[in-house]
Amino acid sequence: MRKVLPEAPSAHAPGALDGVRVLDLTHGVAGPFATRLLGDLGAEVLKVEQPQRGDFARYLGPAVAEGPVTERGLLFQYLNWNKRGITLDLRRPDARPVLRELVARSDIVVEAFAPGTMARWGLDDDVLRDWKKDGALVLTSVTNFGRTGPYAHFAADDLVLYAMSGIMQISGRADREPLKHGLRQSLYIGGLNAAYATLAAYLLVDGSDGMEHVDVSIHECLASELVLNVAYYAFLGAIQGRRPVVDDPFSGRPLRTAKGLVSMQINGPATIAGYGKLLGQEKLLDGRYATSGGRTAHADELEQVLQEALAGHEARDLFTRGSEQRLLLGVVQGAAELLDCPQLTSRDFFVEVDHPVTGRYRFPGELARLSRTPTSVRRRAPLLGEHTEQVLLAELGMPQAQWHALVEAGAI
Amino acid sequence: MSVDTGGREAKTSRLPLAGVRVIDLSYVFAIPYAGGLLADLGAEVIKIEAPDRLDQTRSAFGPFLDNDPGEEPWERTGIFQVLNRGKRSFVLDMRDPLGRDLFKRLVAKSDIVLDNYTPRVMRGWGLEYAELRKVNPGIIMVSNTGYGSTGPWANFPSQGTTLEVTMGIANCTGYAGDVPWKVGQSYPDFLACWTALLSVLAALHYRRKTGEGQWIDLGMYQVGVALIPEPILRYQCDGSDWPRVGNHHWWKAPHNVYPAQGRDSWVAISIGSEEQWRHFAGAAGLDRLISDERFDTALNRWRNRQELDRIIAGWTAGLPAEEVMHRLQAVGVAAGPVWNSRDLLTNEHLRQRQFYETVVHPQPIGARPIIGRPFKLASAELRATAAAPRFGEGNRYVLSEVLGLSEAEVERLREAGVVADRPRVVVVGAPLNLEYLQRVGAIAEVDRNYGEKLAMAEPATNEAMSDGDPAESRRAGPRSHNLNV
Repeated sequence: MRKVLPEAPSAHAPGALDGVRVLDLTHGVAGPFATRLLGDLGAEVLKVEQPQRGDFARYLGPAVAEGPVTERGLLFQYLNWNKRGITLDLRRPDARPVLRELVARSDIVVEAFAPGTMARWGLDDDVLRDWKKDGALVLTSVTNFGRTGPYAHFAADDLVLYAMSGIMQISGRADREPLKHGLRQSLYIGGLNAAYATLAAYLLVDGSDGMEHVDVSIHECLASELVLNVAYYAFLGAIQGRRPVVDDPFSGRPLRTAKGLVSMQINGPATIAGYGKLLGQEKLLDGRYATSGGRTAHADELEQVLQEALAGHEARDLFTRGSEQRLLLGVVQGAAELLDCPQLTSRDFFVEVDHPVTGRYRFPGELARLSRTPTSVRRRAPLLGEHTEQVLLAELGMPQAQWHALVEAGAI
Repeated sequence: MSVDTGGREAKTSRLPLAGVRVIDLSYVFAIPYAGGLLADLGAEVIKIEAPDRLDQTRSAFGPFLDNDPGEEPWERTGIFQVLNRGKRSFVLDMRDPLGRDLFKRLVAKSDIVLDNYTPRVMRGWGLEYAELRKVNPGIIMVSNTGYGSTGPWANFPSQGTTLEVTMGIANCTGYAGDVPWKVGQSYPDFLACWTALLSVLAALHYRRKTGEGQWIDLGMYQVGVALIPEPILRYQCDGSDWPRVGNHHWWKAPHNVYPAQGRDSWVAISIGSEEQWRHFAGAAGLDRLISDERFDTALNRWRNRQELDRIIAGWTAGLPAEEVMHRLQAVGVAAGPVWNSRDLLTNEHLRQRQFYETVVHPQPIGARPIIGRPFKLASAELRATAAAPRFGEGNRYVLSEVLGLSEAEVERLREAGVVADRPRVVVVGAPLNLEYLQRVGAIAEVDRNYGEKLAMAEPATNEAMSDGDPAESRRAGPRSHNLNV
């Protein structure tokens, strides 16, 4: 397992984005995840936080119970590794010269403020463009509904975005309320899309003196998942509903076993006969269960037969044996199973990261393996303001007097 | 439809991937979608299908135009048009050594290869990355599999539905007290699509700097696990499992969907601060709740959320969902209706942002809206550059123009069956049993007047495509077109 020790320089292969400089003005989940993904690919990311409080994600759980309140959050660590961190109050005029220097030294700037906020602070796109004297600049904005349109200023969170995306309408049971994914999926996929869209824009302007602005709508990221649903309406006027109350148990819906839940689908080489053999249940070979229509029509009986059969098995064992026989199964896994998963372990997926306040935790790591430029975790998330002095004094060469004035004024 | 590159270069030269050629061997959702989006970004994407094994989105997934598979069902499915917009179609039998040889020659002239075969297939053909690299050291290859190319589960079969369960998100999703649920349609496919795009664009940047290509081993399973850090970290903190709480939140309340006026109409409301709570109560005429001791603190509202939900439902049930949204948004409270596909396709916000793009397809499909991209670039105008191709439509382009084969050579390949212009299998397309699906609720409604309603959803700015080269405007379906449905 890969380990990251504080400030320990670790030898690593080249990153795909080595030398690309990202200025991260974001907070929360979606924006920071986008810049972290770029950091994992090798980009050099500098995170700018509000003095004193920092990014509000510092206070999101899961968190440890002790230590400075800004440094307890584990989710913050996950979203912000591979970044150095400084504090700077973007609202203040005396912060402006500092930001100007930082923008001039960046290739990519990412922000996640409500539309119009940066402009209100005198930080319009054009101002940033002027500050970037030489070379290309990409400015990415990650917002709930995008920077334009009648909902640009609407309030939203994961639930409201899911509702308005169309996904909830088709999720859950037909006789119950619509259902959203657990956790914060919209924000992670917003980050994932923002990261690739930013790179697309960077490929366009890199090598020129051009600037490109990327306007990412998290709402539209979710709505992009409905490729089938939207086609149902656009090609035949059908509006999809939710899952029927009675359905084919081999549709992949999780079913209880003696231990854990398993999901089974019939498709191609994954036949009902194969499942009959796997479960040791000959009743499944009944001709009435041969087609999906038949299984749905006799769902109550079939459910009974399956319940009896599944009571004699454990989900994980069925999943492994069945998959080896080329049946199509899933197994419901929680954190304990994932942390112990032989596949993830074999692929060296989890990263153990140490931290001076929280200690060591295991985090999900690599999304995809790039053979020549593997992603890497090179440094833990920054403590609040950890690199302010290093960046402002040593790298920007700020005079001591100006530094003290900024400290005095609470601007850093 | 003839393939015409006239004027294409000039128009696409401002796009991020102008001049990049992609060979897309993938089927179904995840990677075909990535290929379609690469085409939007300006790449030339050549989709390869086998003469006797068509992309399943040409048949099984439907939906067929007006629920009629017609005489050429493989040209009539909606999903295929969405995922494969802007591509060329090249029909090649890779099981034939001649086909594999042609493929390698194409690799030599390409930048990116996309595949989603199980690991053993490309190896079996001698076309794994190590082999392709010999032909073109700059090639970037993305191999998407369920579990990644290595490890004990590498050859396990998988699909979106089973992966969604295995990757851990289902365990955190579902009604309180019920079994885990999946949400949406094939969620893991989209995670793979976006991860493929991120990886391939990063690899392209690296190649521009160094000339070196690489192989991207993408396992959908682990992408899903990367998006559920909360339960994984919490388990390490206190050993607890993340609960399934339906649409409730782990600390916010109210946070749910509430019934609104009309059949199966719902509105989501989420309140995260004291200020929003007071504004909500005022806008809903529920001021009495502010002094109610059951709801006087965030913690009490969360503890008594069931009771609170009942009271709020009493207010929302008498109002249209959109009105609840507008009343609450006016005071800064997060609220929005549960929308369906018609609501979205005719939505004013999405219309102004041109999220759906009208693409003109060959008859009988004609002009239809497809999903665009979830982002705008300020200076480059991204759009679907052409409709999805008909089966084999790009054969001549690939063989003659890209590979430089003579007429005689092309003819020989046709005769040998290595390339084909029509499917060599019977493609079965079954219409949906709409009556049955409506009875059980899987289809909520069939709107006979959908064409009329979509015509209203025409993008706001539609002048752009009327000038310029006529050949180009044929590839880039005019936005000003009336929907021909």
